Amino acid sequence: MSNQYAAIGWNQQKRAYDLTIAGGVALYIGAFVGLGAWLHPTATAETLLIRALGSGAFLLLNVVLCIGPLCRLDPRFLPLLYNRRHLGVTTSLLGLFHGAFGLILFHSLGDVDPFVSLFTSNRNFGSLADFPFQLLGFVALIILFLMAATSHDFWLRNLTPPVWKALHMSVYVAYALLVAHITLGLLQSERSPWLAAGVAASFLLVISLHVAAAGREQKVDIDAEPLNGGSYVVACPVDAIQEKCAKVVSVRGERVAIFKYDGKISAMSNVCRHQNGPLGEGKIIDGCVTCPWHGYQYAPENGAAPAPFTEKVSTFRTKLVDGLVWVDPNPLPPGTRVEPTRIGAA
Amino acid sequence: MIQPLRKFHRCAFLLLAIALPLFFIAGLRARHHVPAPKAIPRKPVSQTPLNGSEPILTASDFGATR
Repeated sequence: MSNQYAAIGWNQQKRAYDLTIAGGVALYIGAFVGLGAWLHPTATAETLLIRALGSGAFLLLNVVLCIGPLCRLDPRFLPLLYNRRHLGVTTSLLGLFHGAFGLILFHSLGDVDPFVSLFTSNRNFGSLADFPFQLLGFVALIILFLMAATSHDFWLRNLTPPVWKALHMSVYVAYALLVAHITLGLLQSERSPWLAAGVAASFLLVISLHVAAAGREQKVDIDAEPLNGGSYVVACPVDAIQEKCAKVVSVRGERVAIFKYDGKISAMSNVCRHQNGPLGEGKIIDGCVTCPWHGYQYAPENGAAPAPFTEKVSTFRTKLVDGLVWVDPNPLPPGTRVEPTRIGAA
Repeated sequence: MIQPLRKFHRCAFLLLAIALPLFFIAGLRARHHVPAPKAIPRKPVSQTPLNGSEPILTASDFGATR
C-alpha cells in the first residue's frame, strides 16, 4: 500500500529479488559469451554479446509472461508476481542494449544516419526470407520501453488502473513482434533444429499457460441470474466459502468477492484498486482483505483501506437464506459501509 | 470496467495461439535453400604428353560437337 510516491519502496524482499535478477542476467551473459567463444571460435565478441543480450531479453520476457497465468493456476507462484515489474524493466534494458549494439554494429559504419539506415537499408517487405526483421525488433523495443517507463505506481495512479492495464496489455503485441523478429532474423541464418525447437517451445508454453488460465477463469464469469424477478442473485452455499477466504462470483459481468470471516459474510468488488489484482484470491489478514498480488488491504465491511491509505472498492449487500448466500448485483459507491450478514442469525 | 479487458485478453491469446505457430512455420519454410556443394565430375581436358611438349587440344575439349 502507498499514500505517497517513492521511487522504489525498498525492502528486504525487493533487494533479494533484484539481486537475484542481476546475478542471473550477469551469469547468463557470461556463460553465453564464454560458451559461444569456445564452441564458435570464429564468432566475434560483438556478435556474441548482441546475441546474449537479445536471447536474454527474450527468455526473460517469456518468464514474465508465464508468471501471470501460473499464479492463476497455482497460488504458490504468487511470490514471483510481487516484483514482476522489475523483471519487465530488466527485459526492456536488455532489449535496449541489444538494439543499441545492433544499430552501432550494422548501421553506424556508413555515411547514412543509423536510424535512416535501419529504416531504408532493407525494403524487401514482400519476402519472408529477406524481410527487414530489425524493424520488428525496433517496434517491439519501443513498446517495451514505454511499458518500462510507465511501470511505476506514479503512472499507474495518474493513468488509472484500467487505462494502465490496457496500455500494458500491448506486451502481447511486443511478444508477437519479437517472435517474428527471431523467426525472420536469427532463424533464417542459424539452421540448428534445436534453436528453432527452443523458440517454438517457449512461445507454445506461454500461449498454453494463458489459454489454460483463461479457460479456468471463464467458468467464474458465468453470470448468476436473479430468481423470481427479484433483485438479489444466488451466489453460492455459505459452506462453499472457507474461513477468512472468498468465493468469487460474476454478477452483471463484474466479479464480486464474497468473504466469510468470524461468523460473518461481506461482499466487495474483486478488483484491487492498485493493479486490478484479484481480491477474492486473497485472504483476510489482520482483519483486512489482503490482495494476493501486492498486499493492498481493505476492510471487509466498507471496502476502504485502513488509514492513512485512501484506496476504496465497491461493496455489495448480501443476505443468507437457507444456507445460500445472496448478493445484490448493484454495487454501492466505493467505501460504503454494509452491515455484514451474520451466519448464525440466518 | 475490468471485464472487457479480460475478454480482450482471451481473444488476443486465442488469436496468438493460432497465428504465431502458423507464422513461425511459414518463416521456417521460407528460408533460402542453399544447395549442398556437389563433387563436379572432372574428365581430363587433354592428354598431357609425358615428354614435356605442348598438350594437343581437340575440338571436343572446347565443348564443340559435330
